Amino acid sequence: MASFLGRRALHSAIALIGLILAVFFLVRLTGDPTDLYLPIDASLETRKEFAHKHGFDRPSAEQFLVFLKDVSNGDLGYSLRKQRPAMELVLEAYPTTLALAGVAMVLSITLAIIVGAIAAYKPGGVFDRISSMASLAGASAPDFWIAITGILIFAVTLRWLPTSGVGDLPYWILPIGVLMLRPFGLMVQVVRAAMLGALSSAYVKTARAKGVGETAVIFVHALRNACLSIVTVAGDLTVGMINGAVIVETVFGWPGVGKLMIDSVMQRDFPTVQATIMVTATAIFLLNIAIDFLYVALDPRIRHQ
Amino acid sequence: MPDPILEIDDLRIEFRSGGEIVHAANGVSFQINPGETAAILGESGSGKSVTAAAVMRLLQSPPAFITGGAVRFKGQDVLGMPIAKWRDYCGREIAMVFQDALTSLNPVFSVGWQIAELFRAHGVAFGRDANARAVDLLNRVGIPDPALRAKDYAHQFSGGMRQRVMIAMAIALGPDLLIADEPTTALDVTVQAQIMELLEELRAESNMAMILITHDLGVVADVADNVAVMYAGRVVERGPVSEVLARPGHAYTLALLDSVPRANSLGQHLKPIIGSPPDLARIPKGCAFHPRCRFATDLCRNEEPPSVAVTPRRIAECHHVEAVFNDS
Ligand SMILES: Nc1ncnc2c1ncn2[C@@H]1O[C@H](COP(=O)(O)OP(=O)(O)OP(=O)(O)O)[C@@H](O)[C@H]1O
Ligand SMILES: [Mg+2]
Repeated sequence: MASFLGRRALHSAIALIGLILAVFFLVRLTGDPTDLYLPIDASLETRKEFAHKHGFDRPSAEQFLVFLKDVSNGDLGYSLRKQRPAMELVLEAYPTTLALAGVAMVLSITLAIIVGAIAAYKPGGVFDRISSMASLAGASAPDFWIAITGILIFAVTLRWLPTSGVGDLPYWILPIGVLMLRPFGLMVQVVRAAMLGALSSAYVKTARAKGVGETAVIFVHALRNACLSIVTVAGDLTVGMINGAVIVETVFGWPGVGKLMIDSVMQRDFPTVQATIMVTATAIFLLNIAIDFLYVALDPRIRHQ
Repeated sequence: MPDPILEIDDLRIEFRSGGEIVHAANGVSFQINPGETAAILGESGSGKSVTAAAVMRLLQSPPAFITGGAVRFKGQDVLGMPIAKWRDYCGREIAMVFQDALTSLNPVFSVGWQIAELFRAHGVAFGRDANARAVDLLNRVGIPDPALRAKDYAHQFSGGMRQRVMIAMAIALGPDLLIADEPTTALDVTVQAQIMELLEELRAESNMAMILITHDLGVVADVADNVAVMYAGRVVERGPVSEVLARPGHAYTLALLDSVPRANSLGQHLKPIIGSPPDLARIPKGCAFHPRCRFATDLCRNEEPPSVAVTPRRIAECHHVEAVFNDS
C-alpha cells in the first residue's frame, strides 16, 4: 500500500515538473511582452531596459535557471500587468474559484449519486431512460455554448439573473449550473453503471437474504462498493473542472483563477501565467494524492496488499 | 404429521430475454417439515438455485418471472406478501447460505460488521452488543481468534473460513429453516467434510430444518432425511433418502446413481448419463428425460408422465416406475 501511494506520488511529481517546463517555454512562444507593455513609439532604449529588467534579454534556458532559483526561494516573480507579486494575485483569485468549483462539484456528485442510483434500481424503466438521455445531453453539451445561451435566456431575455460578476445567490446560479453540467452528466452514467454492477452482485443477494431493508441494500451495500469507481471518476472530473472554470469564469466575469490565467496569457504576463499554473498544478498534485488516500481508505483489498 | 415448514406448490419460473423464454422451473413441488433435512439433487441447470432464489424472493424481474404456483412458509403465502414483510422473515426465521462465499460477502465491510448487521437489521441488538454477538458467532462456527478476525475482510479469509462466516450469518438469529445452496462446492475436499459437519452439528443443536442443494450423492446419503431429485425444472422423484437411493423409482435417478461411484456398487462399471441436459428454452415433449433414457418408449415421447406413488411416502414422475424399480 505504501508503495502504491509512493509510486502514484512519484508519477504525479514527474508530471508536475514536466508541466512547469512546458509552460515556461511555451508561454514564451506567444510573443514578446515588451510590445504589449510599452507604447508603440517607445524608444529602443526603453525597450531594452524593460527586457533587461525582467530578464527577457537572456536566453530562455538561462531565464529558466533563474526562475528555478527564485521558485526555490518561494519567489514566483512580479506581475507585469499589476506590478504586484504574482503569487499574491493567484492566492487572491483562488478562494473564488474554489468556492465555485467546490459547490459545483459537491452538488453534481450528490445529485448524480441520487439520480444514478435510482436509475440503476430499475434499469430500462421510465426514470432510467429519462435520466440517461438527460445525462448524455449534459455530458456532451459544449459549456461555452450553454453558458452563452444561459445568459441570453435567463439574464438578457427573462432578466431573472445577472449577466456576470460575483455577488449573492443569483450571481452563482448560472456559473454553477454551467460548470455542473458536464460532471453531473458523466457522473450519473458512472454511478448508474457502478450501481448496476453492485446491485446484481452476490453480496447484495446475501444482504437481502439477511433481511436488510432495500434502502440499506442500495445506499449501504451497493453504494459503498460503487464508491470505488465513483471516487476515481469524481477525482478526474474535479481536476477537469479547471477547464470548465476557465471558460465559465471568462464568460461570466468571475474573478477567479481561470479568468486570471486567461487574462495573463492574453497580456503575456509571463510570471502570473507561471504562478497560476504552478499553484494549480500543485493543487491537482495534492488532490490526486488525496484521492489515492481516499481510494485506499475505501478499498480494504488495496489496503492489505 | 406436523405441518410442513415450507411448501412449494407447482412453482413455475421463466426467464425472458432476447425473445427467448427459458423455463427454469416447470411446476416444482416440494415440502419440508420442521427439523428435517431435505436434499435437492440434480444436474447443473436443473433449476435448483432458481427455485431457492424464488423462495427467498431474490429473483430479479425482469428477466425472471414467476408464472404460477405458490410458496408457503409456516402457512403464510410468501410470494403474495409485501416484500418488506418477507424481508423481516429473512435472516430471522429463514436463512440462506450461498455457494461462493467470496462474492457473497461484501468486500468493503468487515465480516464482524456483516454478521452484526443481522442483529441491527432486525432490531435485536446494536453497537457493541451486536459486535460482541458477532464475535460469539464466529467462535461458534470455529474461527480461531474471533475477536480479532471479526475486524478482517472477506479477502483475508481462506475459502473454508469464509464459508464459516456465511454460516455464522445464517444461524445468527436462530432461523427455523436454512437453505444451503451447494455450500461446499467451491471448497477443497477435506474442507468440504468439515463444513458439512459444522452445518449438521449446528442444525441438530437447534433442531433447525435444512434444505441442502447439492450434486453430491455421498452428502445426501450422509445427512439428509428426504431427497428431491430435479430434472429440467421439475422434481421428478422425492422420498426418504434411504429408500430413493437404495431403489430409485425414476429412470433419471437410477441413471444418476449409476453415473457416480458408490460403496455398494464397488467393481461395477460407471455409466455416465448419455447426452446433455435439455435446453430449457426447448424442453422435449412428453417426459423431459426421454431423449437420454434407456427405458424410453413412445408413451414417454408424447405424454407427460403422471405422479406415481412408488411407496406411500414416495413419488416418481415416470411412465416406467415399475421397470425402473425392478431394474435397480
Ligand atoms: N438470469 C438468468 N437469465 C436467464 N436464464 C437463467 C438465469 N438464471 C438462471 N437461468 C437458467 O435457469 C436454469 C436453472 O438454473 P439454476 O441456477 O437454478 O441451476 P442449478 O440447478 O442451480 O445448477 P447448478 O448446479 O449449476 O447450480 C439454467 O438453465 C439457467 O440457464
Ligand atoms: Mg445452482
